[in-house]
Amino acid sequence: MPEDKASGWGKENYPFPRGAAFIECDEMKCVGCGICQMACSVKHHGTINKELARIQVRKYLLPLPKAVQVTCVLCPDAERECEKACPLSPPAVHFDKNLQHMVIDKDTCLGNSCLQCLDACSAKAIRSYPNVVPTPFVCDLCDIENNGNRDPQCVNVCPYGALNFVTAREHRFDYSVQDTRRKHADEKAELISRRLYPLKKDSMGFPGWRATK
Amino acid sequence: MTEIRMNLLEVDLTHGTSRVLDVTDSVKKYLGGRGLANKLIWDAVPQGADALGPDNVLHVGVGPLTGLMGTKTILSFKSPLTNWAGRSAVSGYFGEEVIKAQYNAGILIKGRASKPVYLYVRDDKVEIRDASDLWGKWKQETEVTIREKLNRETGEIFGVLCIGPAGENMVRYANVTTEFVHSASKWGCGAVMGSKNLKAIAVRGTKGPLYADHQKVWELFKTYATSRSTAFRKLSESRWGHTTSPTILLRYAGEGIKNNHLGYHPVIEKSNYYEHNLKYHIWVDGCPGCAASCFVPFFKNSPRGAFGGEFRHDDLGGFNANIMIGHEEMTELNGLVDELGMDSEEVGGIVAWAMDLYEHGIITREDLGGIDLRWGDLDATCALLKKIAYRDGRAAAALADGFHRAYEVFGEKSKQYAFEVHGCAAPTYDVRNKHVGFGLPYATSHNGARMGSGVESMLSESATACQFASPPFAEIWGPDESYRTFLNAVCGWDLTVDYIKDIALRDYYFNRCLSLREGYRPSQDDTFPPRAFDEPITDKYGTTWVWQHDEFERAKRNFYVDRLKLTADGLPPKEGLERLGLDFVIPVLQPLGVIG
Repeated sequence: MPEDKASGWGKENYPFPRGAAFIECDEMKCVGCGICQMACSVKHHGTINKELARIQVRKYLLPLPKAVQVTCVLCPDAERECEKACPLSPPAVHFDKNLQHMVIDKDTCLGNSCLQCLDACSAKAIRSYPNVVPTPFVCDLCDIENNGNRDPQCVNVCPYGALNFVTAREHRFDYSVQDTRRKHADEKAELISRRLYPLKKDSMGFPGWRATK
Repeated sequence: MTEIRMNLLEVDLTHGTSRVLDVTDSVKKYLGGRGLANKLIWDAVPQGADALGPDNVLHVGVGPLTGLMGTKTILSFKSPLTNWAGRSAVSGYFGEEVIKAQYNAGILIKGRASKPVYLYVRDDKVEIRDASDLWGKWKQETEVTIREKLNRETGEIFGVLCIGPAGENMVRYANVTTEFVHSASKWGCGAVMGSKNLKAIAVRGTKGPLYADHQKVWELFKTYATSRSTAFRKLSESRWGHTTSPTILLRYAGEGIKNNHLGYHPVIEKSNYYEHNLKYHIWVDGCPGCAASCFVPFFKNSPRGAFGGEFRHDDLGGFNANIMIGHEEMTELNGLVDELGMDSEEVGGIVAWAMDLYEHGIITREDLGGIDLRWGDLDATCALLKKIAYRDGRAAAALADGFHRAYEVFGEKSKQYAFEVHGCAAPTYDVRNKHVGFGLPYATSHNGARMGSGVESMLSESATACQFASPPFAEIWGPDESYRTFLNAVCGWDLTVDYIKDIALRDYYFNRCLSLREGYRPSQDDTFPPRAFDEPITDKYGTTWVWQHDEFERAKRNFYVDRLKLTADGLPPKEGLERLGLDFVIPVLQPLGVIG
C-alpha cells in the first residue's frame, strides 16, 4: 500500500492508517448539515447531489429533530451479509484485503435490477441511484482509483467531529463485532428517541393541556 | 459557463392544476425568495385583495443560495395581519428538498381548494391530495402523520410544512412550521394557508440541486466549511443556540416586562439561559449546509409532564417576563404555542395585553369564558391560548384578529394598554431602548414591527441566505463579495458587486411599493405607541430609556434617508425607481401620492 504522508488522512500528524479501518459515526454529535454527503458526491461523481453520497444523513422527529448518519461499517468476513447475498461467484461486492475497503466490481455486477446486496445489509449502507449510476455503490473510503489511497473526505470536512476514521488499533474493542453497530438509520433513531421518554412522537408536551382542549 | 434555468412550480388549488414556469429573467433581476415574490405578488394579487381570500398567493420561496448559506425558505404573501406585504422565513431542511426537486425559484400557490388538501411534490410528480383526516389535528401530529404515511409509500423522508388549528381557524398571526420547531411565524402565513384549505406541503427532491459549476461551488463551500471563522461561529451558535439573547436583553431593558410597562422586575431573574442549558440541553441540530448549527432543543421531564421544544428569542420574547413568568414555565408553554401554531412573539404580546386589560377591568372573566387571567398564571395562559386558536368566545375571537381589529371590540380605552407598532405586537427589542436600537427599524418598516425589513435583509432573503449562517462568509470573502462569488458560481452569471447592491435596493423599493399599494402610509403609520413617549423604563443597572417626539421625528427622517435610501417622508424616490427598472410601479402609485 503506498504511503503518502503529505496528502493522507490526518496530514503529517498521523501516519496513513494501515490495516482494517472504518468510518465511525458519532450520532449524538451529528447536526445534520450534510456537508459529508456533499463531499462524498463531489469526490465520486464531481457533482453536489446528496443522493449520490455513500454516506447518508437522515432527519428524524423524535419528536425533537435529530439527524442520524449511516455509512458502511466494513463488517469482518463472517458478518458480511452483502457479500454472501451476491448471486455471483466470485461475488461482485466484496471486501478487498489488499485495499482494505469494500469494492463493487462494476464489470460483473448485475446492476440496479438485482440489488440483493442492498436488501441483505441491515443498515442499507449500500446505495443505488439508477438515474446516474448503473450499479449500486458503497463507501470505498474515498479510494476511488483502487490504489490503496484511503482518504475519506467526509471525515475531513465534518465540522462537528461526528465522523471518525477508526483503525483497528484505535478501536479499543476487538474489530470483529461490527454487526452490533450495523443499524438502519430508522433503528438508530428509534433508540435515540428513548432519551425523550415519555414524550410521544406526535406530541411535544405530555401535560394536561391536550386533554382539556 | 452555462447559466442555469430557474424553475417555478405554480400550483392552482382552485382548479387542481400545476405547471412549471421558467423565471430565469426575473431571478436575474430580483434574485429568488423575497425578491422574486415581490414581482409574483405584484402581478398576481389584485390591489386591495382580501388577504384571506382566494386572490392572495403564497410563494414558498427558495433561491440560488438555499442550502449553501444556511437553508432558508422565505414565504411571501399579502399579510392578513397588516394587509401589507408579508414575508416569513423558516429554517430546516424543507427548502433543500425544494432545491433538490429542482424548483429553484420556489413554489407559487394560488387559489383556494374546496376541501382540506395537502400538496405532495416528489420531483416532477405534483399532486393535490385529500387532507380531511388531518384537518383539526395539532401540529406535531399533522407532521408526523404525513411523514409516516409518505415514508410507508416511498421509503423516503419528506420535508413537510404544515399549519395547526390556529392556521385552520385563520388566526391572523398563525404560523407554518417544519420539523415542528422551525417556524415561519411572521405576519400570518399560517392563516393564508388555512384560508386556502391547505393543511400542509410535503416535498421530496431526488434530482439534486441545479448548479452551473459544481466543482467551483464545492471549492467555495469547502473553504467555508473548514475555515477558522466558521469554527469560531460554531462555538457559540452550537453551544447556546439562540437562548442567550433574551436573558441579556431582559437585564438591559431590551425585552418586554409586564406588557412592556417595566424596565426591571425581579421576575427576570427566573430567566437564565445558563441554568436552562445545564438542566435541559439535549443535543444540537441544524439545517443542511450550515457548519454553525444554532438549533439547541431542550427536553424536560417533570412531575407536571414531559416537554420538548426550543428556546429562541422570538419564542420567548412575547411571553416570559412580559406575562411575568420565567424560563421554567416557558419550557411548558413553548410546546403549546407551537402545537397550536401561532407566532409566539405576536401572541405573547397579545396575551400580555389581555392580562393588562383584565387587570384594569376592560375585559372580564365572562368575556374570557371563565378564565381568571392573572399575571404569571401559566394555566390561565394555556387556557387562553387554546381559546384564541379556536376563536372560542368574544374576547378570544377579538384577540385572534390582532390589535387593530380588537380595538373595535374592546373600545378606545384598551388602546392605552397596547404596545404595538403597525398593529403588530412589539414586546421584544423594546423600541424605547436606543442601545438595542430596533425602534427605528420597527417604526419605519413597511411590513410591520419585525426585523427583516431593511435593505440588507432584502438581499439575504432574496438570495435566501440565513443571516445567522452568513457571518463567516462575510469574514472570508467580504459581505457583498461573498454573495457575488457564490451567485456567480451557482447560477453561471457574471454579476458585479455594484449590480448586487442594486438588486438589494431594487427588492427593497419593490417590497415597499407593494405595501404602499396596499395602503401603507409612512406619514400616518410610522410611529410608536404613545407609551414609548410617556412611559420611561429603567433597566436593572439604572439606565432610563424613553423617546421625545421631536427627537423621534428627526431620527426617523435621518433613518429614511441614510439607511433606507428613501426620501425624508419615507417614500421611494421616483428617479431611484426608474434607474432600477421599477418604472412600471409609478403609474399605479403616482395617483396614490406615494412616490417621492
